[in-house]
Amino acid sequence: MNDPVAFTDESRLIEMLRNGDEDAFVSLIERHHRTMLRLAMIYVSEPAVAEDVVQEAWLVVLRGLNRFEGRSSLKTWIFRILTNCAKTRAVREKRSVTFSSLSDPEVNFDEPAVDPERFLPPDSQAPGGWISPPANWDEIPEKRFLSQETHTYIISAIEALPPGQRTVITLHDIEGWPSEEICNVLGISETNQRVLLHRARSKVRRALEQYFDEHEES
Amino acid sequence: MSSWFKRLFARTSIKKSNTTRGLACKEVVELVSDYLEGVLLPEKRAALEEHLAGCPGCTNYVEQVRLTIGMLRNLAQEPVFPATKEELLQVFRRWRADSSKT
Repeated sequence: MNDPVAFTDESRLIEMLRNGDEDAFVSLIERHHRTMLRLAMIYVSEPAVAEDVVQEAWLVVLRGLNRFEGRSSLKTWIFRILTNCAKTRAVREKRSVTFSSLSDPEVNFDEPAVDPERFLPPDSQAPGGWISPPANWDEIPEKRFLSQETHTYIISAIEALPPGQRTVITLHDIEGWPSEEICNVLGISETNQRVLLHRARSKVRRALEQYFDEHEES
Repeated sequence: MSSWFKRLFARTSIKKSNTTRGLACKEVVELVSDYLEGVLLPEKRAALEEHLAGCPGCTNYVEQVRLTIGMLRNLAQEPVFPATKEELLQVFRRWRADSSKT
């Protein structure tokens, strides 16, 4: 589809969907489908099952459209349906283990943002100061930041994250969701959301630092 | 004896000035994400900014995290596979047909 209609007015979009307008549905797919898949993957690990869950969620969305009263945003409503579908499926497949990782285990153990070895020990003159301070990335040429290789590297750094961190950084930093919506949809506290985001960002930064360092040497 | 005392004193006073000055670099890195989100408590924020003013290493660190977030924002939005889109449109058409029947 060439130029999706800009559906800034949500009630108009809903009206069009209720009337069976395909363009309206396509714009909704374009906007949410990828994120829904990513989210479903936390609950069910098989990509094919995740696809299935998302498709099921879309059907529930369509069937519920006439009852949707706009008490939450359409997006929040859609994602609540998605997580419900995914949880139900996870329970059916006895994979209820994974989504507990969204809250406690990932948050409860200590995980420093930077390797503690990079800081001076407590008995030194400036305890906790840098031994090897981070480089100034402004000196890295812009085209390296924007290169395909860097892009691929970031993606793999995100994929390597534990599920909760991966989801929060994806929703917050890639998709630009506000924290409140993330907490709502994932059912986690604001504090947990912040911790997961902080840890995810720290790890992606660390991966990039390593990547830039290695390239400097070569 | 007196030089020993002086050395000891010098050492503790450095330690003291470090803690009263507030944050060590090791602590700063744990606050950066919240700082960039603007959710740090005002006192923490002030302490962090004071530290940054005198610490090029941490200033670089904050900038690195900021650039990392910028790169994440710029990640190309992968389009939905045409086959997937077609499948979903089938779902949509079936739903439309069903709902017009009832």
